[in-house]
Amino acid sequence: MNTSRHLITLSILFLTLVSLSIPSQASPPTATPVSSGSLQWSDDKQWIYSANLWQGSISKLPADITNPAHAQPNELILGQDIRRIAINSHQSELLATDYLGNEVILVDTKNWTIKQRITTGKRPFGVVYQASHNRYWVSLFENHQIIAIQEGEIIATIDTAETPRGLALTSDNRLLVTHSMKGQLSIYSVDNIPTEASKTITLNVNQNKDEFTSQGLPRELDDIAISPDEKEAWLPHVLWNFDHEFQFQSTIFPAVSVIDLITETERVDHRKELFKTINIVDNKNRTRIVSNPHDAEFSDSGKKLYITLAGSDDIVIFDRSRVGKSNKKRHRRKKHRGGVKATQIYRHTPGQNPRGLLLKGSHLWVQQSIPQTLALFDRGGDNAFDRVSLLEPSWAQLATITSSENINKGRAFFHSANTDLNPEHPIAGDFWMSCNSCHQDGFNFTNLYLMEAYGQDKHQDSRVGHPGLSNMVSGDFVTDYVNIIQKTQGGMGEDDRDGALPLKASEAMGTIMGDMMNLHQFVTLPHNLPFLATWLKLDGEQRTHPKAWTNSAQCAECHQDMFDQWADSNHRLMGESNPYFMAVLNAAGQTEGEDFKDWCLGCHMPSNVMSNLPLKTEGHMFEKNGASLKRALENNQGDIDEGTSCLFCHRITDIEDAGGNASFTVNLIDREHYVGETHTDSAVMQWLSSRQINSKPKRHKDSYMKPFYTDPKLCKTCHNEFAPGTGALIVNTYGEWENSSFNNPEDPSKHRTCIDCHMHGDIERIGEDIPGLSTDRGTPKKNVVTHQFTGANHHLVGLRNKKLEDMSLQLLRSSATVEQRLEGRLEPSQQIIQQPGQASNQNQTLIVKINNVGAGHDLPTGVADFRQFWIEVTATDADNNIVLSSGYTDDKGNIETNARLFMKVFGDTEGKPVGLLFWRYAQLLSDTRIPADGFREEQFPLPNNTTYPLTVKTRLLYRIYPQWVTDAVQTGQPDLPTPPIVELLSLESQFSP
Amino acid sequence: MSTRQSTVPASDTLPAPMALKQRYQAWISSYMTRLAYENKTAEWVVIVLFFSGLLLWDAIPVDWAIARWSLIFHLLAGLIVFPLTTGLFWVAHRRLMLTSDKGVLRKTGAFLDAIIGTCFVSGLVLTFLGETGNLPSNLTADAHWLSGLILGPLMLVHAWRYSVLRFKK
Repeated sequence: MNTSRHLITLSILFLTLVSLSIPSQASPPTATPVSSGSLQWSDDKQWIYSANLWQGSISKLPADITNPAHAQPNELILGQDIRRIAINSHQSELLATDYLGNEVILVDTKNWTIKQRITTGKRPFGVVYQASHNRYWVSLFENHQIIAIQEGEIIATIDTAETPRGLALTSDNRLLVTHSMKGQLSIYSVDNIPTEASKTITLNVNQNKDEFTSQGLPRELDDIAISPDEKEAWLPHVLWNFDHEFQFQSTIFPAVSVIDLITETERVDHRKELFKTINIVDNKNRTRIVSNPHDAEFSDSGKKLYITLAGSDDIVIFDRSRVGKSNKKRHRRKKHRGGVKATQIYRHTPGQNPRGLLLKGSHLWVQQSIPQTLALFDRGGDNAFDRVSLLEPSWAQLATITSSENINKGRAFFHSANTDLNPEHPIAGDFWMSCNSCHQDGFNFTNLYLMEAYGQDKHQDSRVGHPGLSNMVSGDFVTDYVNIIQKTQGGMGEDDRDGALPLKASEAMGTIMGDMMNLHQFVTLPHNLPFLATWLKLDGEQRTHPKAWTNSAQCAECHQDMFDQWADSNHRLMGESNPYFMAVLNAAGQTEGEDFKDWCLGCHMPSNVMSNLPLKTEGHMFEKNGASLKRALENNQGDIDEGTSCLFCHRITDIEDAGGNASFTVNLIDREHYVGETHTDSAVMQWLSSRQINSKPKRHKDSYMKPFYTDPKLCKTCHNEFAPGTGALIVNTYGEWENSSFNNPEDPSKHRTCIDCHMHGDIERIGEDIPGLSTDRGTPKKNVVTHQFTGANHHLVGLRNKKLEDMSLQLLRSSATVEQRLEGRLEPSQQIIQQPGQASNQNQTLIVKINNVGAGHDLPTGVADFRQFWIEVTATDADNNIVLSSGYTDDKGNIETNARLFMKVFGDTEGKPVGLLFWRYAQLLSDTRIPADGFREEQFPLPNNTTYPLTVKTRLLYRIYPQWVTDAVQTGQPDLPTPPIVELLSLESQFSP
Repeated sequence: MSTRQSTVPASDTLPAPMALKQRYQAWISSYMTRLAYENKTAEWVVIVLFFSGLLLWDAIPVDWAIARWSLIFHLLAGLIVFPLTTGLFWVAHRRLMLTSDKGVLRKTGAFLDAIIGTCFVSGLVLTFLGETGNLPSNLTADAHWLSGLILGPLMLVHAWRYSVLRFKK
């Protein structure tokens, strides 16, 4: 009996244990939503980890506020710009993204040492850890990709919508990705490695006639906050309202978009916007303006949401305590008011540029990026009336500030919209916006999205950016920085409601001058605009040594054909040897200031810019076969090649699609050079390096070739131009090609890139492969890319090389066709039989149609004010009378005023043609160019008494520069031959009645 | 007229320049005879060239910072030191090789003749004309690589008994 009782007892115990154990084995590990951020908790919330941004380090500190160790965290230097961190579930390692270093770094959190560096694509930003699969997800902001990293290896690379940035992961393994510059949120199911997003939500774009109402394109999305119940995701961002001239109270608005994670749609009505749900009136009876919402964090209960405002240096708090309690009946007649509202704006955080947030209990930590400190706040609690209050302004010093004080001040100016920091001379009026509100993270590829967001009529105002510049920024940067601050941000006295003193931009002195110099130091950092006027960047050094430039004649030793093609081309002699360029360059220097010349020189004479060398006084306009280069090589003299030399182009190591203006990076130092190769002034060393290259050329080839050299975007870096500061798009050759039928990678037989036409050895056979060699006695290539750069400027190249001129003209002639017809005739039933010699008694119109059939861009493209492309029409009637003529020139070579030219004409702010000063383009006066695949029809009414048959002769004519420009240039360069008028096409037709 | 056999050495009777030439030739002959048995320098040079060349082989991942110095060293040593050491030794040693009683030495020696010649000439071609990518240059590069790869081990097979690498004798 006892035994059976024991057995029953044991059985019950066993079953109880088994039943208890089954659920714990079957249930998945508890998962909570995670999001990328620059501040992160350890799993047990005992430690705080921080990514210290541009200090290039991470820090680890105890979260226990009674532990004094928190004041001096353990800092570990990792790289250049550490943006986000994620910690694995064992808390044994973390992954940090180095935004400028293009790598992620695995850190052993126990030993606090670097475990591994993993090279990624460009600008790795967000990172989250997916515990269920023990892998990290990283967004590559500039590469437009997300990658998965597991056990130190990239296991998947997924192409995404453009500019993926912030990441968040829900407990059901949905990966949310913000697309910062496109205003989108993508959702990926990451139970398995996905190939594409399961859903992409494009945030609502609202426009209002009243420009002072919150509106615009959602941009600069960053991190994501997921509510604890995982029903909502909140996305802080700004709105860009670029459909009118920049004005500080109507161009940028702060906003927070809300996504319903159940339906995976945006709750458009719930977007938090200024004057609506962010509408706290201050004691001056004005809505408290805030700027640059950055990071968001929910309280544990989800009743409160805290958002840092990185521009105005505030924290905005939303009270969600009444979410889900609304009485639908009670509110049914009330207009919807956008849900949750801001209940407090904590003004200001003690340090500048608040970014990351962390919450624990009643405490709130805020990362202040300029002083690199962590401020500690008391949240108050989750009730509607609880208020945030400051406990310790500098609870911890997260990182040692390594940059100079001036640069740090400049950085603070760039990110700041805090009017209170200097009420007399504020950086922004009424806390509206900072430089970073548009120029995200400085001056980089995101510039392209500013141009993309341009929403005005270019005939009214073509400027994307800053109006009212004195000297295009670089010509007098202090004055123009003040101009920009005043006219765009309302600072420096423009908005005087808070006590700002009036200031004339050109009279900035004393501390303001100092502030602007500090800002300038930040703006000209290597990763921003080191040469200010041009977007050219140098990797790893401030300036190149002149001797570092290998004379291109040296390359001829093995690449004779390539050298010969290039030596006479306009890609070489486009600086001192191009008198037209020099005339415009001098005009640029005289009107805007000497430093502005770099805008032109960045593409035309990049080696001089990088070596900070003055231009030579004489060029080589008539020089054949690179004679001066060969001479310099023979005499062991250094010679910085004019134009784009072999070394220059073949050491472009990165392109940044900022919209043009030489937006590429050159690196002369990190190439795998041979012993003696850089000693360009030593004949012995050059001979030796040539022998080494001969013996083992693979490294040589590898170090001078990049995969993107065949990408048209490389050409775009110089063949697209925008005006510095105003952002007006002056040349858009790439865009014209991009929208044409020539951009057709799906059909290789129709696809033509820049090099297919302009670097092709036989113009008649464009589209066919031309076999050949690029190296003497080298590998026979199926199609050799030649380096004569056939283009529209036949005249200057023809002074040196008739063959190249013929190729240019051949290319021009292949670009268009001409048709002509008469219109206005009666219908057949109404036609009057008209005998030859009889006069027509009806209005007839001659239509001349020019088709752009061969140019994969507008005809003409480039700075088209200077390219004269027109039709000359002569109509002769039966009596041999000329009844119509158009497009003739006078005896001085000027085209008659009523000629039909195909060109664009730029106007300044007053609507007057800009002439040579095309960077002053502010409105498009006219554009009669012929788009790729398109045509233009020119109508010429015929006189009533025209007798038939009518003979019409039409010539399509071309002249590289207008006569008035040549006249002006010849005053400084009398030996410049006058460019001829070239007949490209001719058509003669006879029209009978 | 009586004749008397001269007891004076022939050279003494020759004009001074001729005597100098004869002495020089005698010295050369003596030097070359001696050199024919002095293999150490020549062997060291081949070994060093072998390993510096090996570092330039793409199959072996060597950092360019090392490989570039290896290349210039290989090139200069091959151009200057090799002819003056191994080259001279080979000239001096060839007669021994060809007249050796041992068949193995004769055979490996003859093979070495061809290999050294191929390696040296192909090296010169690569240095002065380059591995430009066309078929002759590719064949030359292959010949240099293959002959170099064979040269080292073959030399050890040929003269292991006297090799500098044979530390324990």
